[in-house]
Amino acid sequence: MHINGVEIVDTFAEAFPMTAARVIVTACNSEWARIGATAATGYASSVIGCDAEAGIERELATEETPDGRPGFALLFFAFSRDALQKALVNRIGQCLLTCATTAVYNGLPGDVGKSIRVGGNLRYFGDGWQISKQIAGKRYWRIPTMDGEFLCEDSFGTTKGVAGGNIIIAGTSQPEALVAAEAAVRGMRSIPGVLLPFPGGIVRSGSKVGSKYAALKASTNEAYCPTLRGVVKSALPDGANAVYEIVIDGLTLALVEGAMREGIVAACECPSVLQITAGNYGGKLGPYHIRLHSLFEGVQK
Amino acid sequence: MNIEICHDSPIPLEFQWLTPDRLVPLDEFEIAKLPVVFGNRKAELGEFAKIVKRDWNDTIWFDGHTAKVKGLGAGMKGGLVCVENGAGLHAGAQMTGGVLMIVGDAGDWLGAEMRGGEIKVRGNAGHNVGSAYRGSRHGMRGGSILVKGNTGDELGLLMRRGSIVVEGSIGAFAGASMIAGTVVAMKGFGPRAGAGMKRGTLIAGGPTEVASGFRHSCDYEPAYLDLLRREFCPILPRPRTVQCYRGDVLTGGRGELLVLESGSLLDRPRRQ
Repeated sequence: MHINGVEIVDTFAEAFPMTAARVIVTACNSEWARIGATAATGYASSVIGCDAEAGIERELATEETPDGRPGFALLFFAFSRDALQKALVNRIGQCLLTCATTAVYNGLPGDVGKSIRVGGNLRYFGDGWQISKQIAGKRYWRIPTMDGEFLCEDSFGTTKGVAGGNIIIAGTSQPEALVAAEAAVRGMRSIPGVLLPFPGGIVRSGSKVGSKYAALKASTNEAYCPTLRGVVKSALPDGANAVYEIVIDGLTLALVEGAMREGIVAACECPSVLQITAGNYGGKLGPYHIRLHSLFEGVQK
Repeated sequence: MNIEICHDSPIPLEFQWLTPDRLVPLDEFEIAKLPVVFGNRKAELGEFAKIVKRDWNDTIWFDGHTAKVKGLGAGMKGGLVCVENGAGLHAGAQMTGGVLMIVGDAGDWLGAEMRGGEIKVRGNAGHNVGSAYRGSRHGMRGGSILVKGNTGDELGLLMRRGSIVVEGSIGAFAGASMIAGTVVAMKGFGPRAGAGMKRGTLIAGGPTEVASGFRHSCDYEPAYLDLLRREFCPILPRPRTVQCYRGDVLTGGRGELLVLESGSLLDRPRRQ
């Protein structure tokens, strides 16, 4: 299969379920909301080494936020609800409670009975001076701080999301492959409910499971490293000198598939892209097998 | 269902739990047989009201001479009760759900000890809105009350949870001995508001006399008010800063009075 002359390999991306939450952070202005959002989603590229995968979903207009202030929607993914609650309490406690003028709200209705307590755990910082308020059926905590108060919703909804969707873009040179990857990221980020957790949405260090070193869970995927062509069994097409991967988490499988589709189409419009493929582990890692060719025909689980 | 009160007398008529959940399964004849209290004697509803039941949904319309009828909507658990010409004492008292709409004025003890649901009054309300009955430990414990006009004294006495919004003026001792919850007074509070309150929030949209047990804490911009404005009370003014008072210091000082209008009428912090 070819799109714009770019080969789309007949393979699949292997995705797996993860628990997801959406956090809305607001502040007195967009700048401080962005500072808080960036801090709260830092060091959250992969659950291989981080407590959660997180990122900014999109900036929100004042009409879209619960308190009418500028804000951002953030997405968080973790392996379980307990892990997600722990990550959110830590991250909101350390990065948003501490950030000037911020307030934090739940942005996902979530699955029934699957909510996690965030404000309900952070309230103890108020040392007895915290105030509970119930507005329109939701409980909020007002915690006194040195610039006024920190407002945080008590419970956050969670849902079973999908993580690990990916595409791998091979180009003739590093600059051209990066331009194509950036175009793909722009296309993917137009879809709400999708998170690209790596820096700029792009991974340069694609990994394989395991290592020659027993302590490592993952190590470099030498088959896609151009500098190792000739000494390892390479998966690179002829003429490829750089490869970038884009990893996609989404609130639903359809959103991940939609993002992959957008990304592939956008990347194929760039010159010097030779091939687009996807990473998998032989079907042993996750239950969702997203075939690249099927993205352009229909959805396949 | 329409219940028209035909009897106009200075002697009060008292309804005992004539709520949608009780009336929906009954036909007109059975409803007419329901007991009421007229003055100091027991009677049947049919003696005082004309009952028309056209459908079986959970909406009751009270019209006619409703202004002196006690207990309209009291104890309701769900559904909708509309009162066309004002309500007497205890309207919506101890209700746990549903919506009570009153066109005209409501008497004393509106929503007293209510636990849930919603009350909307287009006119004024009397004393003790959302309060505890004498001897009770807690007043309103949930739900919301909106009064378009003015209210009397002791609004929200011993209030434990829930919200009251009054668009007009409020009498003395609003939120007295309050335990939690929110009271919004769009035109400010009367004297001694929040006296003895332990926790809870009083929000004054107009000039307010700050009780002696309150201390000025700071002027700030709480995001909580933006949330309240958007979710619950869109008519709340949007000042640049809000004056925050803490009190009542005699009972721990964990309550708060937020004054949205610049300058309170009388700020009398007690000498330290």
